[in-house]
Formats: sequence, C-alpha cells, structure tokens
Amino acid sequence: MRNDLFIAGYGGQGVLLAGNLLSYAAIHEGLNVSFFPSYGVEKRGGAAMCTLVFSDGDTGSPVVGHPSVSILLNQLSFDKYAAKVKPGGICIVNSTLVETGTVALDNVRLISIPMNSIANELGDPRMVNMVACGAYAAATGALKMGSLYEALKKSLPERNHKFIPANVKAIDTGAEMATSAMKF
Amino acid sequence: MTLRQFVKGNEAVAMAAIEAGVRCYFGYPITPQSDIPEYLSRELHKTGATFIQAESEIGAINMVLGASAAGVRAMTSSSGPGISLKQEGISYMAGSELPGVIVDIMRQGPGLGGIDASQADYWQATRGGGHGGYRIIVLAPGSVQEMYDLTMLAFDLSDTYRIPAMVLGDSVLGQMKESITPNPRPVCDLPAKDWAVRGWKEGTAQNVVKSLKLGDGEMEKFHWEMHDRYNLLADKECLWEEYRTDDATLIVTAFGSTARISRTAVEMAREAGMKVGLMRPITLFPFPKKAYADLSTKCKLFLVIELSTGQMVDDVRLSVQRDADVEFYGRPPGAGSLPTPEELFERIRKVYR
Repeated sequence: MRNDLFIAGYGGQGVLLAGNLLSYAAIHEGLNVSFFPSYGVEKRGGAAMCTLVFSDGDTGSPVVGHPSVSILLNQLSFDKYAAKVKPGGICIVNSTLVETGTVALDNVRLISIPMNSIANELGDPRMVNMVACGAYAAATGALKMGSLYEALKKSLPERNHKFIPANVKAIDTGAEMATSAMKF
Repeated sequence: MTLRQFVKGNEAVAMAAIEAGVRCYFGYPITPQSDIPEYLSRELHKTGATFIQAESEIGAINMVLGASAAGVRAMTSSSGPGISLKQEGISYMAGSELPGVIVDIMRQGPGLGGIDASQADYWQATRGGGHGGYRIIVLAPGSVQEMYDLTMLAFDLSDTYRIPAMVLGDSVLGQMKESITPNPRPVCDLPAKDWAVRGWKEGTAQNVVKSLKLGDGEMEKFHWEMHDRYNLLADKECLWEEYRTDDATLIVTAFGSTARISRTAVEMAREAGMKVGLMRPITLFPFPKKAYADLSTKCKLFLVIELSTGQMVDDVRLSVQRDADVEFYGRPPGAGSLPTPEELFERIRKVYR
C-alpha cells in the first residue's frame, strides 16, 4: 500500500505543518514516510507546497507527478495543480478562497470545504490546515483520526500543546464536512 | 528496538556525526545544508565536542585539517560555492594522508547558481576536486536513513584508509524528512592514529604531517602508494543496490535522489510488463565498476539518468562490457526541473527494447 498526497497554498497557511502532522500520523501507524517540502525564498505570501508519500514498504520517489490526492488551499495552487490529480483521485479544496470553475476536472472527486470560514468560526484563522487534515483523513480513510490527534503532540512545539483541544476540534470539523461532502 | 524518528536529511547527517563520535565541526552556513551547522551548534557541545562557525569555508576546511592532524574526528559541510572554496584544503589533506569528512549537499551551479537540487558536482567530487591528482571517498545516500548511515561509514572509511571522505547529497535529500532508525555506531576495527601530531615526548619518534614532499623519489612513492590504496578501496569497499535486475533487458542507473525517482519509474515499467531493473551506485568513488561489468554480461542496455547534462554516464560507459549500449537522459538543475516518475517512465518506454 502506497499513498501519495500533494498539499499547496500560500506561505503562512500552514502547508508544511499539515504535511508534518500527516507524516507523524502515518509514522504512528507504523508506516514509512517521505515528506518533501518546497517553498519560495519568501516566508509569508509566497508559494508553499509539499509532497507526502507513506507506505508499509518502500516509499519510492519523493517527487510525484500525478498525486492520487491533492489539498489545495488557494486559487493559485488550484489553477496550477488541480489538473495534475490522477484520474480516480481526490481534490480537497479550500472553497473560501478558491473558485473551482476555473479548471475542468475529469474523473476527479472534488471536495469543497470553506476552510477559512470554518477556522474563523472556531476562533482562529490559522487552523485552516487542521480543517484540511481532518478532511483528508475522512475523505481517504488512509489515516485514522486517532493518529492525527497523537501526531499533534509531535508536530506542535511543547509551548503550543495548550492549543491541542482547539486543533482537535478543527480536525473533527474538517472530517465531518468531508464526510457529508462525500455523500453527494 | 531503537525508536524511529522523523527528521530532515541534513539533521540525520548531524545526528550521525555525533553518534560517530565527531570531536570537531567547523563550518560556514550556506543553503541547502545550513540545518547541519544549525543542529550541531545546538547539540554538539553537549557531547563535550567543539563547534565553530568559521570565518569562511576556507578557514573551516583548514581547521578540519588541523584537528585531523591532531588525531581527532573532524568534519565540515557545505554546498557548491563553499565546496569549491574548500578544494585547496581538501588537496592538502589528501597530500598529508589525513582523514576527515566533508558533506556536500549539492545545489545548482556554476557560480552562485541557485538552491534547487543538482547532481552537477559529480565530477568535482569523484575526481578529487583540487590539484595534484588525488581521489577522495565519495558516498551517495539515497534516503534520509542513508544520510545517517553513510555519514557514520564516511568516518570509518576515512580513518581506515587515511583518505578524506565526502557524503554527496543534494537539496532534495537534505531538505526532505523521512522516518529513520538512528542506528548505533557500527563496531569497526580501526587502525591506531599513531601518525598524529599530539606533542613530542622524549624518546619517541617525531611525527610529521605535511603535503610538501621534496625528497628524492618521495613524491613518486607517495603517488604509487595512494594508487594502490585506491585499488584496495575498489576491491573491498564498493557499495551498490540492485532492484529487479535479474531478468532485466534494460537497466536504469542513477544515484542519490534521482535513483529514488527512477525506482518508482522502474516499478511503473514493471507494471506495464517491461523487464526493467535499477542499479544504484552508493559509493561513487570507488565506483562499482565490476558490478556494472558483471551486469552487462547479461543485460546489454543501460539508461543513465542524472540531474546534469551527463557526468556519471562517463563512468558507466567505462565500466560496462564493450557490446553494451549506454543511453543517457539528463535534467540539468533549475527550479522546477526535477523529473517526475511519470516523465522517467516515458523515457524508459522510448529506450526500451
């Protein structure tokens, strides 16, 4: 079993933290993980993306041309990368910032979740990435929710562990939204 | 069982250096390897060892030379422009038969180039890099686990043969994170450093560490001795990994991160029913010539893939049997120029027969 995932957005949206969180979750499940980040010279506002491969065997290429799942957090990423998703794959989109009509997706399951709105309602716009991670786990079934909760302890620095309950809530909300989106 | 950790390739190098008992690290920051000095500046002093951010790359390599002459394990790390600056010191180390580990996390060049992945320093690394006709040991990791394991091996080989050793990674391997097992330092029977200069005591022979050899026949003797030592290295220390080469009619060959991408492309080819294998050299010097010669008695078609316009391809051509064909596919470095497995699979399809 080999899963690959591509995540992209603006620098500052927590793309790399999301990649780290899902990596730790996969390690928690005893899998091998390759996490390949790529970001611009800028910090906030530049392009940020990462590729994740996890497998019970060899992870193989850390570079993925056509991912089976993509999480795209802004319009730029959607326009550039949505069409690369493999046929039969899943594209999880932050619909607060993305107009999905710009790219025609053939045989790709589109899951639109207003991640910024949800994160704002939960009290912190920085939790967009957590909503996305929860949506990923629910939409793919590739990782258990419990593994994501465990992974929070590893991927957040100790001083931020007080925010874990809020992040768990964001993950859960993302998962619920994805589950109901899958019904249609 | 040692717990698995999730670390960057560069961090794995630094962790392994500490496990290998490095006593001195001297370096100067440069992307994409700055995580190595960053990690060591935080952690190395806890082992009682010394971390110095030198005034320059040239300063750093000469500090490695000095520490190594005193008989302790010393290392430095850098990338393209910094590695070029270090060549004078590496040549002096080679001439003085000093061990030492140099980590090169390749970036684009020439000149200042850029920070994305490249394999265009293969020639510089495997041909010695500096003046005077010497070689250094070059190890090419293909994963974060190997960044860790081969850094420890670099210290052991360097101490055993008294030849500087280089770990040759690239910005993909340096920046990516993988789950690794931080293995304990392997047990290894190392020769005593009875040549080291630690201060002279009455009644003991004087040790001299130098590369200036003006005596009659002294330099010629040195070169033939080193020549024999390089041959011994080739006989005993070659490392490589083969994947599904047994029945292959086409063998893809690549090192480092390119080998990782190639492996997935080879799997795609296998799924399409094509008999394709992968040969990944792990030691680039010594180059596993005999392994290529053996493979090419059965398989007559090789495809070399590199992130350059072709460097290792020379060594492959020199190693395979005369009736084997060697094709090449290169992706010179640049932002966004990393090939995908899908692209390499297309290339395999074009070449395959």
